[in-house]
Amino acid sequence: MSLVASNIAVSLSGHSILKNMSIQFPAGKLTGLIGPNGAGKSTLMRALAGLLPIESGVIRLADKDIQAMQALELAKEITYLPQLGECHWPLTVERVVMLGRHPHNDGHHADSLSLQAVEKALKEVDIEHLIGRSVNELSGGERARVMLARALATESPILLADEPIVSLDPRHQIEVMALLQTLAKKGKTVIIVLHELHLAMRYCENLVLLNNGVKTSEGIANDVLSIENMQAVYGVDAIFGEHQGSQWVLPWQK
Amino acid sequence: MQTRLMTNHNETRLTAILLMSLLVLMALSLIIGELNISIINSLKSIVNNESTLESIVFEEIRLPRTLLAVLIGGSLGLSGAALQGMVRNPLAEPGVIGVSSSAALGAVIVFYFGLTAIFPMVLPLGGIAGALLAVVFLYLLTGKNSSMLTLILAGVAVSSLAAALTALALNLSPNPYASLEIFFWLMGSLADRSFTHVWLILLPTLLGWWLMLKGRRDLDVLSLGEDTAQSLGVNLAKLNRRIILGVALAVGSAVSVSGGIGFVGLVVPHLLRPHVGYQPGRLLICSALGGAILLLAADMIVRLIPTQQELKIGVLTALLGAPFFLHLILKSRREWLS
Repeated sequence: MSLVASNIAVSLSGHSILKNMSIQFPAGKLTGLIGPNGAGKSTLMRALAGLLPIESGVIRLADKDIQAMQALELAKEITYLPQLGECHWPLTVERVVMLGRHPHNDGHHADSLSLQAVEKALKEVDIEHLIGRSVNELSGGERARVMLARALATESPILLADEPIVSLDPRHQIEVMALLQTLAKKGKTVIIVLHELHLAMRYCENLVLLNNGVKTSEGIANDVLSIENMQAVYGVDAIFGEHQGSQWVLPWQK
Repeated sequence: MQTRLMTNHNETRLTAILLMSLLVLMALSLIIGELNISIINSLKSIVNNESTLESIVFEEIRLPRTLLAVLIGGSLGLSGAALQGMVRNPLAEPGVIGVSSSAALGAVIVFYFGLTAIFPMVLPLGGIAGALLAVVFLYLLTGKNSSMLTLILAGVAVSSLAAALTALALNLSPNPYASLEIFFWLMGSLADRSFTHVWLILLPTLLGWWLMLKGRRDLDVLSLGEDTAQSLGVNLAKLNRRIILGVALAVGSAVSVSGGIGFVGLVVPHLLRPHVGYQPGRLLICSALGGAILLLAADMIVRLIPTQQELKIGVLTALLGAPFFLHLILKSRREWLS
């Protein structure tokens, strides 16, 4: 299922954050949303999830305007994973993941379909060993994976994740990126915000570069992460190289 | 693995245990007192339309008192749990954050102007109006992500204002006996209440319970924060409206009949929370049952303690609840600093 933003503008407390932005997120692809701090990435994610009112323009899911959709209906189609996966009570891991089933059956009558989805999600992010533990006593990385499992348990066609790998160690970063890539290959439309440009270059089929609330560039990684863009948008010189047939990038100096 | 994921039977068992304990306590509360009576004999006399001493005590005193303890205790326990779920803060309790004192103020104003003479339903309505003002004000003041500190400070402000206005009413009261009566009423008690009081608060109480219980699944999801809850299909505005109105109805009508009974909504959810896996929605029904049990037990204690003047139940709950509150604060000091 494709998600298309057409000429959207969003302001937060009087400040214009996104200016007349149009982006087409292709179905079944892993799209990386990149850009410096304050570029408007998180705001765009929240707008795409239907959490923010947009001033102008329209966001369409397949052919439906998401602003006109019922909250529960939208929740079945789009899953949103915020930057800091907060949990205000010390719930156990499996209960948190089960909450991801809320759009389907309220996640409260544990029917076999929900249990299957939860089980699968726990396995996919490799946290089966955490069952029974309270999320508040987990490390930041473990918690981030629990929240990702919660998002996967919804089994929606579209996944929006705001910096899902920010607190993970390199091994789990690679694991999660590979998982997201696999999910995209299976047909899920995955859109993530990330700052790890080397992983963005390696795993994202499609990159969108934002700067100051405006889309600066989009397309395949090798085009978007060019020497010129790295200088113009991030203000850094980057080193590029190649390993086993794929390109890598390393921001090097100001 | 699926069996490991299904952990619901614990809560069913807990609910059953609480329900059984409540029924047993209710029976004891009907039987035990200065006069030990037999429920069966009393019911027989009532059915046969005879009035024996036993049946009068049963019908006019014990039964309404027991029912009020269940209704009011249930309201306080449930409201505490619902408020805590809504603001995601374990210290939110109708008494602590000033909702009870505002409800009391509403009821005092009704007494003061003798409005009950016009229409008895004005009494719970006064309490409900007071409680509603306080909950809405607290919600607006503490905003979306309330720290413990903001919530407690806002509660202190609301309580102080309500207490000051209540004191003003007592101060200006032309009749010192009326003041004294209100003063004692404010301490919280279930003594000398009749079926009139039960009928007065039954409807608003049940409506309040229904509103809060309807939000229980959404409260579970709200554990993950407002953005996530909304993205999972929760209508936040609707949920907040439900809880605010539900708390106001339940606590407002409870306080208008019993006066101020504090800390039930703090102690009960806190004790039961670990047994429902800390899920705020699942906590609701158990807290209602727990609140009813606690208040019923407290009421039996004040009835049975041989003091010259019956100990007020509100005084007892405060004596037990305040140290508990202090303990909770000390335990969560780290969170306070955040």
